[in-house]
Amino acid sequence: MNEIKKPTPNFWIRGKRETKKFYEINLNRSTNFKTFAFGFLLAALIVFPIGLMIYQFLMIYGYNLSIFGVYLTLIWVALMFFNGLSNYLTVKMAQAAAKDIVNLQAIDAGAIFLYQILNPGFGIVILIIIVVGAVQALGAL
Amino acid sequence: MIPFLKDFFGGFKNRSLFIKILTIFLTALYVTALCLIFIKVDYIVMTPGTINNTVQTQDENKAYTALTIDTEYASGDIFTIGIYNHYRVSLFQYLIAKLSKDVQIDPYDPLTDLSEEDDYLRSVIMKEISITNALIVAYEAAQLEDPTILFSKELDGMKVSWVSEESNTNLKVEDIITQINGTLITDLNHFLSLRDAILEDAVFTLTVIREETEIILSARKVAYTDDEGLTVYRLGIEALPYYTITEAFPDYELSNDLNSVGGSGGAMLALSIYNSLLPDDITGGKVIAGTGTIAVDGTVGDIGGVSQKIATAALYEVDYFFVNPEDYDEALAKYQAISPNFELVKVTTFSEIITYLEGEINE
Repeated sequence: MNEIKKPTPNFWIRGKRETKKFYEINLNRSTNFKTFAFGFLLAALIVFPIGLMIYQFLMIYGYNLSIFGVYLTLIWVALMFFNGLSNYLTVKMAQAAAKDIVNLQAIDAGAIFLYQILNPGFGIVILIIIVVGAVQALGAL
Repeated sequence: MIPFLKDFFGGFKNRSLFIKILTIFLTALYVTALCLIFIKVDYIVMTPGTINNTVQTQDENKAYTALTIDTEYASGDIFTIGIYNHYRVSLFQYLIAKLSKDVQIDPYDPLTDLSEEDDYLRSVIMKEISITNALIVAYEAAQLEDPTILFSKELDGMKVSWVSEESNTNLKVEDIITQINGTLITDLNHFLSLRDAILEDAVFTLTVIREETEIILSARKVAYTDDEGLTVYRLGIEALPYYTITEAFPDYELSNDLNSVGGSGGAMLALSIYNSLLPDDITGGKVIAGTGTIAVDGTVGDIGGVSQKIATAALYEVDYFFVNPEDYDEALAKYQAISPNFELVKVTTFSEIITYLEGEINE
């Protein structure tokens, strides 16, 4: 008798599922806050040089409005990466802080990282903020 | 965070060689990136900038104009060119600036060169004086075409825009020198002749308006070594004639917004004011840009960063670009290098701009 193997879901479905699982775990309020805050801060620290490089690049080449779209895209990509990293680090910190929660240890932080990097909701909101900011900045020129 | 770090470093030992190398590589990359963005180098980077509106008339609604003229005529599409100066840039900015031929990099000595703050203050004064000079030149030129235009001015004195650290004059930036040794200054040449008449080591007096109060300062010249190694005596200041406009019809209103600083827009500002005062649009619907200071006698003076200004104008749909003779060679070299779609025109005086445009429109 042939064994029927369940197909492995793609990274997107896995990431979405793992994210849902993580949010369903009841961490105590203090751990929840600390893991989120430190995950956010550590991600910000890692992305910070990239952000500052984009800013410094803009200071030198910002005069060329024809490639302004490239800057906006870079900012958008950096923020999407930040979102993925922040979520990844939050999960990793929670796993390190609450080793007794078995369900939490089973969560695949890498899948969450990939899913959050491509999170459409966050991406659209950030894109709108960037475009509105850019329109205001260009209007001031 | 501590359990996380313990896990991270504890687990690191058991990771594969690839992960270890990758982690070390990414850490080194991160530290390099931090060094590149935080280490400052002693250079000024001058980049192209934007074109700026100059003047609007009462029915127009342009963004960031220096002033509004109370007429119903068209002010025309006349623009000044702004460039950006970045002081003591980061190593990263220095390296990426080297990639572009439109960006100029100059050494900067914090001990002898103007600080960014001092340069800004100087540029604000230059802007103020350039607007006044542009009004004087434009109204007086327009008066010749239309006698109903009224205008008068009087010299307040010489406004100080920069004072060297060695200067023995006790002057401050924004002071207005009205008298030297009790003699009232009547114009720039008079000021220069009074200055030159002072003996090298003599103590003399300067009557100065400082924060609306008249004070008398005791001053001496200071010895400098010129380019040929000779000792010369100077005041160690930069000062420009500062006029008050006592009558102007049609009226004008100065803007409170300082969209740009510096005096390099003076010539274009004068052209735009002139165009706003007269019914015929001298631009003929063309887009005019240019650079150069304007003196009260209509002379168009030199400025800095003309290559960057040519590069800026090339990014916009400009038809004519006026430049003063001192900067023309540099402007022409850049013009020939990038072949933009505008004509580069060398002008010495304001009247030459008018004559050129009248000739172009009549063609």
